[in-house]
Amino acid sequence: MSNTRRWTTALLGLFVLVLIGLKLTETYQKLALVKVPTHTSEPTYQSEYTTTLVYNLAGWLSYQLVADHLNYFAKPQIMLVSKPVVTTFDEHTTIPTWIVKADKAKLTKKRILYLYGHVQIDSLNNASQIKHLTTDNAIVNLVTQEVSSDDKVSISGLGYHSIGMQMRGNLRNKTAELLKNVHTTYNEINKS
Amino acid sequence: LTSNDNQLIKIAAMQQAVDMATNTVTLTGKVVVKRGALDIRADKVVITRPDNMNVVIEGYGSPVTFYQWHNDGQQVSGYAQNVRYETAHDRVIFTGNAYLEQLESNVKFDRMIYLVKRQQLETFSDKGKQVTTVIVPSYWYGSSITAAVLTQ
Repeated sequence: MSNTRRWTTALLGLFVLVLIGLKLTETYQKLALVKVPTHTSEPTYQSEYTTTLVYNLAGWLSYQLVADHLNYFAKPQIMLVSKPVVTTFDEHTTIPTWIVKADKAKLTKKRILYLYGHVQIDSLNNASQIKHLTTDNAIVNLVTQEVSSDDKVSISGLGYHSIGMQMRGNLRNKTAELLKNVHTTYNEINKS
Repeated sequence: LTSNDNQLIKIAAMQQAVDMATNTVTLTGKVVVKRGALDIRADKVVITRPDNMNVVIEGYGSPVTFYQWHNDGQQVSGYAQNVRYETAHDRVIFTGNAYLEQLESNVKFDRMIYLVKRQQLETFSDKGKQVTTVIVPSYWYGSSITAAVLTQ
């Protein structure tokens, strides 16, 4: 193969390489534009006065989250909520069972609900004599419905009031345990 | 205060478990139950409100101790393995090595029912016979127990 031909082939090869290189750089730049904002202080989306319904894998309504204001952050997949009102449902009958309220809340990807300020958990079960749990801060696992708090907790209901430190419970099993310094009062309900 | 009626029941304990499905409250660890002039101390207490009004307090301990002061200043005290207090009748049921005393007098039976308001005591023996001992305050003053023992 003569010298000129060899040089022409080499030049052509080089030219093709340069073209490919240019193409790649261009595509990469485009990709950079559509990248989701990773800067965590900026919410991916915000919403006002929203209602979120969440279903379990079997298709039953698991819980409903109503919020005055909601910020969703894609990167850590967390939701920051103002004035959350969560309603849990019986997984077989979809009858509402509990209402959980607080000033603020954080909901994580694993459905752990961190509640901050004026936490109130109300039973919607008419047969239950014990109705309300209140505390400063609490954590609710919305999948297992386990609930816990390391603060002072008050439990009250029909002629019944109890205060203690630290609480562990389960909304689905309708149980709550106060771990320390319990003071409980009962008063007789008027017989007339 | 002979009668505990309309008095708040106050309970202090180390832990408390609430079962809202069966409306049962279980308190454990140095449990002290006070109502008016009544004082019950137990290791464990289970509280229910069967008729949504009255309260039933079941105390378990080794033993459960019981104190009740009366208007006349007298104190009745006792113990048993199990002490059950029912607000409906203001009565205390002692079961298992039950013992009750006032001043120098005392009684010991397998089971006793103490009607706080009437200051009346009914005792039962496990030997198949029901023995009812009726003790009224005046018999208790300064003398050994002289009580009408009705054997049925």
